[in-house]
Amino acid sequence: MFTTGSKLFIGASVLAIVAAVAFGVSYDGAAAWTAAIGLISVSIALLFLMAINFWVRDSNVGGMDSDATTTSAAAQERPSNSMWPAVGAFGGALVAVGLVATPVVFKAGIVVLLIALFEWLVQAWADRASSDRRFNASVRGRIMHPLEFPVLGAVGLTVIIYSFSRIMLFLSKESGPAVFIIVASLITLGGFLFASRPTVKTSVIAGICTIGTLGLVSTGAVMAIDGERSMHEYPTVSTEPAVCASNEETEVDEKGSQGVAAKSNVAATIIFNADGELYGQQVGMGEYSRTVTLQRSNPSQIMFRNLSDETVRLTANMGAFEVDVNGTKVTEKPVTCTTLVKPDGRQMMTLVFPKSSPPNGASLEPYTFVVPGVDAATVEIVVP
Amino acid sequence: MLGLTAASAAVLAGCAKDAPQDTWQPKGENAQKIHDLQWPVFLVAGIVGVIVMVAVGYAVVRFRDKGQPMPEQSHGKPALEIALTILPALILVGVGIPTVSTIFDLADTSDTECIVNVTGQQWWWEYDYPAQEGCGGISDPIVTSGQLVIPANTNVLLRLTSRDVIHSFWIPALNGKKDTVPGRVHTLRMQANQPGIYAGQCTEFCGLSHANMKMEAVALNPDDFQTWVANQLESYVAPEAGSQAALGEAAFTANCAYCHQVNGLSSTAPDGTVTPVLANPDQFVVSGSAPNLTHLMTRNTFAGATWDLLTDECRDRVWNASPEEFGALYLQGVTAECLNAVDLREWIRNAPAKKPMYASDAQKANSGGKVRGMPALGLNETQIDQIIAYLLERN
Ligand code: HEC
Ligand SMILES: [Cu+2]
Repeated sequence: MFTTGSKLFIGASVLAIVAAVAFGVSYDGAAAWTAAIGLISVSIALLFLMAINFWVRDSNVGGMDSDATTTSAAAQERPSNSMWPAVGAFGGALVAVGLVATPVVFKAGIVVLLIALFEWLVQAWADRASSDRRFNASVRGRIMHPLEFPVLGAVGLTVIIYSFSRIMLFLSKESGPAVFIIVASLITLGGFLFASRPTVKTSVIAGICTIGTLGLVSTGAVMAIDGERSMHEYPTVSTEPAVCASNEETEVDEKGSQGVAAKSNVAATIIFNADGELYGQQVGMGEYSRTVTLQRSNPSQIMFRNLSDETVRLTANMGAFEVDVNGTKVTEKPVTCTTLVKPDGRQMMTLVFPKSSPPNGASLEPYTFVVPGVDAATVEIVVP
Repeated sequence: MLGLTAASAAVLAGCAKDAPQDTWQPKGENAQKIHDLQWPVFLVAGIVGVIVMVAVGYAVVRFRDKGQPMPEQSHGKPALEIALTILPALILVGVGIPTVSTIFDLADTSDTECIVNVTGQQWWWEYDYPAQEGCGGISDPIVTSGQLVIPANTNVLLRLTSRDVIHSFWIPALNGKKDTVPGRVHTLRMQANQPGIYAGQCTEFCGLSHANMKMEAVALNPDDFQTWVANQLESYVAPEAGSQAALGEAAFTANCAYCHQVNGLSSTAPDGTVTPVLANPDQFVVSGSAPNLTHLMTRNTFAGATWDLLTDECRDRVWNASPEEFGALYLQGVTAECLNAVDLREWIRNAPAKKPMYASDAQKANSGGKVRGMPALGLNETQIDQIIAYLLERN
């Protein structure tokens, strides 16, 4: 007399009542009450569902209803296979994990959920378009492919590029270019071979591409986990008075001043030659000048060229200013210098002078370029 | 026909007679080079344009749909296609060769005779002349603004940069435009065939008062230029004690000198020690700069060459002078009779009301407490009178 469905709910509600009793007996305190009330509420809900199922007799179709073979819900075409419920569930799991773990996972979960929801919606809509599976699939494709292909393409490219960049960052500076050349040649060669044999099966090409991509991504993942090769940033200029007044070796990024834009627009080139002379060159101002004029309150790019056979640096003495530090007058002498420059080397530095040079500025001393250790090597800086 | 007449009348009305910034009237070698390139190119482009329009018009009218049968469809006419590819290529090569050579010509710096540093900032131009042998010799640096004074018939090289945003320097009668970019030094050749005054305009949108960022190039005979240089280098002459101008000096020192440099200005403490008064615009103005007013009255304009320091009558006399008379008139500077006190007063009374600038307290708060432009200083009319008397002597 009880239908199958209602028996299931009877069992479940009995289980909930047993659990409520077990809980109430073995625990005490407020928590036990909360749990017991919760479980009893669950059992009431389950009994309610049982009653509905019993009443409609599990929605069974009458045995004599001959139309039911074509019109009942079970007789309808089942929807096409879809991965979106699974993807949605995965998104839900990500959201849950993300809530306790990290916000990134949570956000990724939300994105996955939204994508799954949208795709599922479109899929469900397309499934009802007609009774022809093929046609329904084409309807779905017409709407979704213009969206899916670019996005998938971009994601795929990102994964490939990211993996490749991890590999390049892992490799040493020397082997990196070699690997790059080999990989590039292999790709070109492969492309050439495929192009010259149009008869090669698509599946063969797809197979090779898949293997290549998998190899790339897995190598990239391994190398990303292993970390990048050690990289160290070297300063190109210093503002330490002790360093700027000395010939002390500092770490140098020799390529630090190769910015083409900066080099092509220097405000002045300062040259230290083999005779131990320092002089400046500015466009239109002659080849050999002991003063350079730099515009005030404006970053000036200075190029230092060492044409001597010593290793030296260029130091800019940017004046001497009296400042008040807690009531006592202190003289501050800002300096900026390049790192040590090898013979025939060059270095850039960027200087800003907010105040005019004397006599129309507050500095107690003129502004100068000097080469520490070489007394006569001085170029005056005029800042109008 | 009537419509066409009206349209061409409207177009022609755009060609003003008194147009100092007309690109079709070169007054110097460099602008002439551009001119010699642009008119043939315009001509060729114009002819091609007319041919294309006529051909399109003909095709539209002649082959319009009159219910005729679909004409025979063919796939290309190789001979015609090749010809129509080669012909434009040849025309482009014909335009390209002189264009590239003009670009190189205009970039040349080897024939420089003297240099001027040009610095743009919101919303005025500063010119500084390094000490140099060129330009007939300049013994000490000169700083001025608004009007770029150069010797005529001399290859002057401008070294352009900016203190805040990108601006662009353009005096159409003398050369093309060149952007000024912070941290970069761009060069621009300047040469004027004759003494005279040539108007220009910042041509890179640079914020609120971009339209009020003008400039003028003033070309003087080399002799007159030397007189100008000597005048710029004259040392400071303090106003006569007890005069209106002397009161103005005190008011200027208190209210203006922390932004504006007047070379040689000094203050005397009660105990008799004299200290130079030095401007610190870097602490008050975003660009770190305010015009140097040492010889304000030797220039004819102020505030980005937007207003005249001369009355209309005196201004016309300078602008309309013949090349022979121009130098002497310009070197007179601004005399008491010629001073346009109206605009200058308004400026000193409330500069941001005259020229839109970011100078209110609320606007300052967005830029670290510094102004863009000159703030209103809340001076009374007596102080303004005194300051104007003082400024009138800065010649
Ligand atoms: C906070 C700084 C500041 C103060 C204070 C100041 N100015 Fe200015 N002044 C400027 C700036 C910036 C400009 C340029 C504005 C422009 O042209 O856009 C300027 C422009 C001028 C000019 C035009 C100069 C030229 O060559 O174009 C004059 C004249 C002038 N100021 C007079 C005065 C006087 C007089 C006072 C004192 C009553 C004064 N200023 C106070 C910042 C200041
Ligand atoms: Cu501008």
